[in-house]
Amino acid sequence: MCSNPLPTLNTVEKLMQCLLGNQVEARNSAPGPDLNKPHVVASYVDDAQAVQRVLVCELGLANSMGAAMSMIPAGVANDATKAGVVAENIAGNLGEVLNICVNLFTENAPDRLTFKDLQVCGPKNPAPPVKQAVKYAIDIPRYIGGSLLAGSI
Amino acid sequence: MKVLVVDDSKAMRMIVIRTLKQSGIANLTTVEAGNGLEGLAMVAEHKPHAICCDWNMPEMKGIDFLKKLRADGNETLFGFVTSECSAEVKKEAEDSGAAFFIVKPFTPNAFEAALTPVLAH
Repeated sequence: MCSNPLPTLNTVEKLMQCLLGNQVEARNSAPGPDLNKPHVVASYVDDAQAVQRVLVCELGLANSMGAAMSMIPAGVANDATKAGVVAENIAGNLGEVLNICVNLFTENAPDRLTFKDLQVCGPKNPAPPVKQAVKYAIDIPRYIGGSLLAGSI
Repeated sequence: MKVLVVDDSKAMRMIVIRTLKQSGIANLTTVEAGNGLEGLAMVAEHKPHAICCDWNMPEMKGIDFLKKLRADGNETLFGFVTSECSAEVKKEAEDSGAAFFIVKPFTPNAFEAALTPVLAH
């Protein structure tokens, strides 16, 4: 059982700004990601490889985060989002962003977690149910933003 | 100063190199590797003054790269740039001979704060 708290708005915004630029903004988002549309689920596991935390992002936001990390044009990200996939040349970046996002759950927290994998999910295979969740909207200048959910399993 | 940057993410290597440049290290040049095995080869070829290395990588993890270097008698200044932030990981890094430990995501100031003291020696 992992006792690490879920990230605050300030924590999420600071991390995203460090990774993607100082102009990134985060806001509280009541509905969170729409699980009836394609979305990306990142899983974070404990030392026993049990999933303890997830990060769920709308696909558009996921492609944007991966693209923004190395300034891949927004059009590439947007085309992939329309196709319902993570762009091939963005996937590596997105993996690294989500890897670093482990710090949303572990900074100044007792339990060690590591990033396990990311999956593109949809209405037929949606993100797993969570016990608790916080939801934020992320705005990345020049890219499509979207909603993000950080949850405990 | 020649710095070897080791990370399996090319984008992250670019960010580390950019941040090294922003931190004001004099006469900086960089070389890159994608994992610890490649890192060993780059050390042998380029003899860097310092190494900035990720922790979790395929083929050979960063900690194993460091341990191999030290076992071979190589004392090149070595530090980690990693998403790992637990006390246990930091201790293992220190015990194995790492001189600095920078947690991702990082700022240029964090890089400078971590590197300046060790470079001064």
